[in-house]
Amino acid sequence: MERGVVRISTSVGSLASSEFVFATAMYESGDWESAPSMPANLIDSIARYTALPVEPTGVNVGLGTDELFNYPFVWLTGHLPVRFTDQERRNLKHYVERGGFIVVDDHNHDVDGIFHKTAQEEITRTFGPLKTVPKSHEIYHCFFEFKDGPPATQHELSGWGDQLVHKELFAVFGAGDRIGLLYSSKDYSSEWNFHPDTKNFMAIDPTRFGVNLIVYALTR
Amino acid sequence: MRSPDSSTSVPDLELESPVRGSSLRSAFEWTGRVIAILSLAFLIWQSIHALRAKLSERVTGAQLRSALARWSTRASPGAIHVVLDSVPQPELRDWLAALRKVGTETSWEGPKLGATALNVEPVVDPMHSARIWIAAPSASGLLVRDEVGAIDSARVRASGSVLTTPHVSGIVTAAGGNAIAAARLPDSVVVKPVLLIGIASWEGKFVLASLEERGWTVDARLGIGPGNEVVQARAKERPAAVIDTARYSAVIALDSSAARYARSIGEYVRAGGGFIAAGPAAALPAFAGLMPGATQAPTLAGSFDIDSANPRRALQLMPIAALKPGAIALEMRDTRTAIAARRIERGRVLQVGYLDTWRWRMGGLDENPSSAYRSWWSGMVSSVAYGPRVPRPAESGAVSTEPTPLASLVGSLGEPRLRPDINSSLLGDPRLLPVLFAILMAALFFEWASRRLRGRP
Repeated sequence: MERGVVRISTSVGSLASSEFVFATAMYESGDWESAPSMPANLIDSIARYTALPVEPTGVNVGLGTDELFNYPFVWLTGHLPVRFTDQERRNLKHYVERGGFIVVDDHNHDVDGIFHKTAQEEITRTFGPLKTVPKSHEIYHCFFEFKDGPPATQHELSGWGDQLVHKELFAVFGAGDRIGLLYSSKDYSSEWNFHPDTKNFMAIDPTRFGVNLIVYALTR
Repeated sequence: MRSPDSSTSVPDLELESPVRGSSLRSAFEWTGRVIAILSLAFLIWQSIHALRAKLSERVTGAQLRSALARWSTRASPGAIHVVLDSVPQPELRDWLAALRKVGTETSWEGPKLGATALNVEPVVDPMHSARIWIAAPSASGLLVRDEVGAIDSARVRASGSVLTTPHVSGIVTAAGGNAIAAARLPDSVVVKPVLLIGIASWEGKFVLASLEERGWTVDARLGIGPGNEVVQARAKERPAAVIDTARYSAVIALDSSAARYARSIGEYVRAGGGFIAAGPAAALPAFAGLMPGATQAPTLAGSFDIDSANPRRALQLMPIAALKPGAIALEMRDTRTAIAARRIERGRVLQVGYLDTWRWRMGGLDENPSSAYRSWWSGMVSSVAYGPRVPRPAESGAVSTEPTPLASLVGSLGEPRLRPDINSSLLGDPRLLPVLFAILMAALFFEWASRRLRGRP
């Protein structure tokens, strides 16, 4: 079914039934806590650009725990090898099948890096091969407009990591072609890992794409 | 010397004794003759009576057809009584009724027959076109078929069963309770999109996703911020304020952002539309006139661990109280109403007291919470949805249907009654005939033997 987005004038001044909570996935292997300032930065952006009710602080939630299912949006990142336990793998599969949305971001920004290789391996083992997200996809247009697809990061433009500017994101699609797992080699975890007030001194806020990710997760 | 008195008394005794014995014997023989004649007369009367009036047979299945053929051609009984083990097919039932109309006294009984009834109705559901209602005796086996093949089979609990099916072809039959009921889908319905109104939230996301996964076309208006709303492509072609039955089968309001559409929704409901107010939307003063009841303070959310068989018990609930006249409680949690419904003019309204139902889909411990959650929401929408009916074209050469076979049988042949009284009296007992025959033969034999022993021919 064809879908698109328009913005029309409405008044949204009331509360939804539950607030959005930014959750960071903890997993047994690796350094899941490698971008400690990023959650607060994205929460700030949600509050800054939307009227969505949002919990002022994020939570860390174990990938292998039942608590994971209380948070339909989860961010997973790291530099080190990713080896999921059986329980983590099982939970991840159920999480996506039930409608959860997880972003897996390579903090190394390196397709030859160990995180990329092992994370891709785990994802492929759990879901099958990742698919490319086309530039026309709703995730690039649901709030801010990104006509050229995923915005480039400073790490890509500076030639760090694999010295590539990745043009696309990849995904595991669930029922109804909804993205259940979004995989990024762009290292948004580094790009957005700064104090929220720093945005006041930037010409263009780089976290705007993060707002799109959350709006997409909340509406599709 | 013998006295004259004594000499005369002895011959008297010798003369009187043979005379008395002869008269007794004669009386015995006459009694035997009378008994024989009476027995013979009764047997002849019985034979004539049986030939004239009583023809009673126990017939089942194909036997009834052959018996009817015999009664209609070779035999012409004055009265017939059939004991049915199953409800006969319509043509056989009509045949029996025809015999009654030409003067044959017709009676029937069927102690094993159960009342089976079938109704097929269209349902406003994108994945199920028909709902089949079956009434049948408790614990009887049911087999539901259409012209393509078997649809489902089940063992009846209580006194009936209901099932929905994606498609039915031609006549639907339900075999159970020694009867076969048949019905046809009279018309179909037009399923229109569903309008979902709310703030971008997990509730909106999961309701939208679940309905779409069940085949509904959903126009969602999910608010994000002042002046911003995520609107799906299909919905953006329509002006926001136009909510009518020409566009939508149902409208779902999830929170306070729907208040600005309250007036349109009220008119939509009165015109026949279906409206679901869930969670915070059900407590909005703007919808108070539409709601079946008033909401109370919410309970605390529970854990899915406590009752995995009934996952909605774990959800936070705003109980519905003070139901208005005509409103009905559809779902209870203990003594509190969780879901209530009400008709308003031509439309239907559902008030859902549960909050954050998405938690069931994500965290439920039942076998397949996503599927159960989808079915639950789709069922609620289907129960209120407006669906204009479109008559199905008449099928040429269509066979007549029989949705209530036992009722039709009673309508044609009258109430069942036990076999007529010939068997209930002593004279009607068939065991009497050989006894009477034996008595007849014995009476004739003793009468004959008595005469021969007397030396009479």
